[in-house]
Amino acid sequence: MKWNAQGRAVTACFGLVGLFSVYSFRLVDLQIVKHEEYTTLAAEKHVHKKVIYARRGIIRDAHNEPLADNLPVKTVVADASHMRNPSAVAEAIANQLEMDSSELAEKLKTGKPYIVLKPEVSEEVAERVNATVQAANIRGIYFEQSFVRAYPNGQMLSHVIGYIDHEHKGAMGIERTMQDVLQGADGFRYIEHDRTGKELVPYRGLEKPAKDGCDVTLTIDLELQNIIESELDAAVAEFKPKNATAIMMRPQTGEILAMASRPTFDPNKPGAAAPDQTKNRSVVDMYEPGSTFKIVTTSAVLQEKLVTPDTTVFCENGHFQYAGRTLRDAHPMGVLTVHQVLMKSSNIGVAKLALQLGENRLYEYVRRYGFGEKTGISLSGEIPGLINPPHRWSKLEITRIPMGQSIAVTPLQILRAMACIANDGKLMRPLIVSKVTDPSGREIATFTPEVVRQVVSVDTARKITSALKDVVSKQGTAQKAEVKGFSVAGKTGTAQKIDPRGGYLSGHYVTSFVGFMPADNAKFALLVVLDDPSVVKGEAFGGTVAGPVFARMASRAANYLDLQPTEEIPPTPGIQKKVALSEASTD
Amino acid sequence: MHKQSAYILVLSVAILVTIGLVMLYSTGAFAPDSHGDEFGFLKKQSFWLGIGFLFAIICAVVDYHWFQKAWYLILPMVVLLLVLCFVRPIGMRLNGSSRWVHVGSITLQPSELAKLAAIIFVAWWFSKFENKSGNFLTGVVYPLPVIGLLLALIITETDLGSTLLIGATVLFMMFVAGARLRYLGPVIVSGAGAILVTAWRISERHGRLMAFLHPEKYQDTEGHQQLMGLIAFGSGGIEGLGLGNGRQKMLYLPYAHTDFIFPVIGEELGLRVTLLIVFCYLLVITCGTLIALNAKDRFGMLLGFGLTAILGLQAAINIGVTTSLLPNKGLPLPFISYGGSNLFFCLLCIGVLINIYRQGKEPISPAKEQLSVKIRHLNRM
Repeated sequence: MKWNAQGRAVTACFGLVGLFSVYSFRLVDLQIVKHEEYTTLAAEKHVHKKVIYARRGIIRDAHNEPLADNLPVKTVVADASHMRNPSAVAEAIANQLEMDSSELAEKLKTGKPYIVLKPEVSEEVAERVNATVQAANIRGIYFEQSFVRAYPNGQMLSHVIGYIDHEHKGAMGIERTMQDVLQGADGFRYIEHDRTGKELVPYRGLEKPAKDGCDVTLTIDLELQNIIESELDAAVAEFKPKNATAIMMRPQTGEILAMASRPTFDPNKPGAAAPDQTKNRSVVDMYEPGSTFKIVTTSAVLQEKLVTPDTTVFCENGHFQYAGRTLRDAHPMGVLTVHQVLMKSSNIGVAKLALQLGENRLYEYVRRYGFGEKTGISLSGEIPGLINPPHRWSKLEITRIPMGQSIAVTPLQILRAMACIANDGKLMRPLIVSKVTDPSGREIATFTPEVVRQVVSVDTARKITSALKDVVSKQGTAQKAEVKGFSVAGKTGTAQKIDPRGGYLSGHYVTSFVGFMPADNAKFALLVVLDDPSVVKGEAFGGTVAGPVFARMASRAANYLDLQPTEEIPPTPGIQKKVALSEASTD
Repeated sequence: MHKQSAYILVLSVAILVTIGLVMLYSTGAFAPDSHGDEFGFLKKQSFWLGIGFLFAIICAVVDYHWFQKAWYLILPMVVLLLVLCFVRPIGMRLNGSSRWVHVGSITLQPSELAKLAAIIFVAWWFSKFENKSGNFLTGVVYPLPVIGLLLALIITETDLGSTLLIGATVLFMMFVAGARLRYLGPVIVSGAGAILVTAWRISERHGRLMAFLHPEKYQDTEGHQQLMGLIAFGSGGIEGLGLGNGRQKMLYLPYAHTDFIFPVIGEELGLRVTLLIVFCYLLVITCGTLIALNAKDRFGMLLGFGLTAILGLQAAINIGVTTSLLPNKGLPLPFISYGGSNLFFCLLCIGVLINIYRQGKEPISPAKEQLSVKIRHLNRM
């Protein structure tokens, strides 16, 4: 077929017109038929559920001093997809980020649109990097807001506060026990972002705001805590014990005012702490309490009206044969009153009182004082301690338990038992959290003091207090625990350490002192435990090691609490000199 | 109906240019090389629009037979410019291609001028040897080395798109001029073969070809751009998301302001505007062909048809690529895409077409009645 030019031109034109008609069909196909399909695909590419992180609640002390706070930090992120000269960019910012510039360049050279260069950079550093970036006209470096948990007081109170793990969950202490109220609830927001991941703010979709965590206020008084911690540090430096614990409690309410353990750790760097350092010994460690436990038996016999404080007990001159074994006193004594048994801490005396009481009643009182069960404090890892029921006792137990052997308790349990005496016989549930406030400041929970039970009568408690006052005197075992101007009631404890192979280790002791002050109207009860202090053999007694530590803490605490001296302050110092060491260390 | 063709042509082009400027404003700010200046592209494009408009008027006024006489000047000059692309510092290399020469702050793409030169040459050749255009030697063999030189220079710049476009236009013109199909057939086959081989050897183009054949395998690499284009069209639907509301231009769709502006139009303005654009190109093609058919002489006819063909083919390739009907090939959409040289060239084409129209005679085409009905009918829509 032969065409002329016009015919060919029209044919060619129709060819092109036909092609464009095909395009019309293609467009209808794409934009109508496949509209849904591609809209879904587009949503997958653009829309993204972004988690809005809830602010973790702040932990405060009784005076609203922050103990655990959130520090705003920036994450430095790079979009290297359009970066012209990654090496130069790396060079420019490496210094300020304190990173190796070649390592940084390596990251940038991947050309990825989202590279985390450094997480958790402080605001100041981010500011400086930003200035550099602006000045050098570098594009593609930006900053994302985030928070890190910060413990402004460092090691102080670390065991109580605890720390959070890498998933931002409380791993210990209050952080763990109050996790549910502290964490809040993360919200979300459907956002659209461009290919580099930057949000397109005008296209924000459905969102649910984050519910910030609630703040937790503790009963801890940071000032008192500071006193306890610094004196404990001094004691550790002086006596080099394996570990040490001190707790201060308000007897009338059970509020914990201070709590410290050694060794300790910095919750800002939990990864650097050995397991031993993170132990809150106040609640997770048990030990044989030794003579501090004598208050249980003594108060029980008084309560049961088997004796009066003036009833005499013959202390067998230091050698008491019972069930084929000999029980000894450190300092042989003859006839003592019940009052003196406690004051001079006679093992034989208290054992004989326990025999009068009988196994079942002794066990009952031990349990009534809260031993063998958790105190219920909001701290992680609390243990109940160890006390066998009477049917599993051997013949010997009745003489051993009254002096704090064959039984294991936590430091907090002993302190609570002592606070019970100070509180006219009422055993309190220990409080560490006083209230929980929501982010708007509304109190959503307050924790009020709770009486667990009346263990002994007011009268009995007063009688015991009177004996405990004499412990801290020339005649007692803990004259070094005296606080000038105040009457102190307290009890020493010197327990031989248990040999893991059976029996006791000689020369290794857990020395402790637990007491309250002022004796007749206690503002605080305080326990000091030093485990295996390194002192000259024969001097590791509760009265000589833990007693003075108690005195220093109590004295500073009285000063801080502005307590009025109840007694005349003797004009000259140096009472300690007059007392022979051997006498004071009778346990 | 030939009488209205130039007005319809100008109106269509005006619509396309307007849509182009509006969409450039919508997409330009998101382009990675915009440096945050939302008006930067718009200013440059407007500048070239003005220059192009000026030259189009000159072309419309100055007799186009000047081209017929001056072809031997134009052709060597274009060849020289194409060679200069490889000569520093006049030549400029960007993204691995040496397609540009720059003088001062003005950057020019000589391949755009090469399009014009090739069309002028072919029109001149086949008007001179009108009676021999059916011959194998005169109709096919002799003009090929000249065109081949141009194409060889452009393909070494690695501008496959322009090579393909000029080659196809020349074939269209040869077909219209009367070259036998049995002679053209082998040329088409060998030309397409040459382009395929070149494409295969350049790894990037190879990947694009593979991506076209197996889109699902390459959706994160070479096939990414076309898939993003489809998502843009598809999510736009009939209504579109509204001007400025497109998401795909936000760095998802590379070259959203240049070669891939058509999907963004589909996304933001919807099916109605995309169909309007297709219709405008149809009008440009039909009006151009009508003008060519009514040209004063054979040179005018061939020149007019060549210019129409190159505009139509460029649009056809671009739309084919963006709708994934053709493998990915970077060619701008005439009158709409950002790019000064191309806009300038396209406006120049329209100017020359108007000149041909002004000197034209009454149509004698047997298809006259049908066409006029069609145009009028379309006109009323």
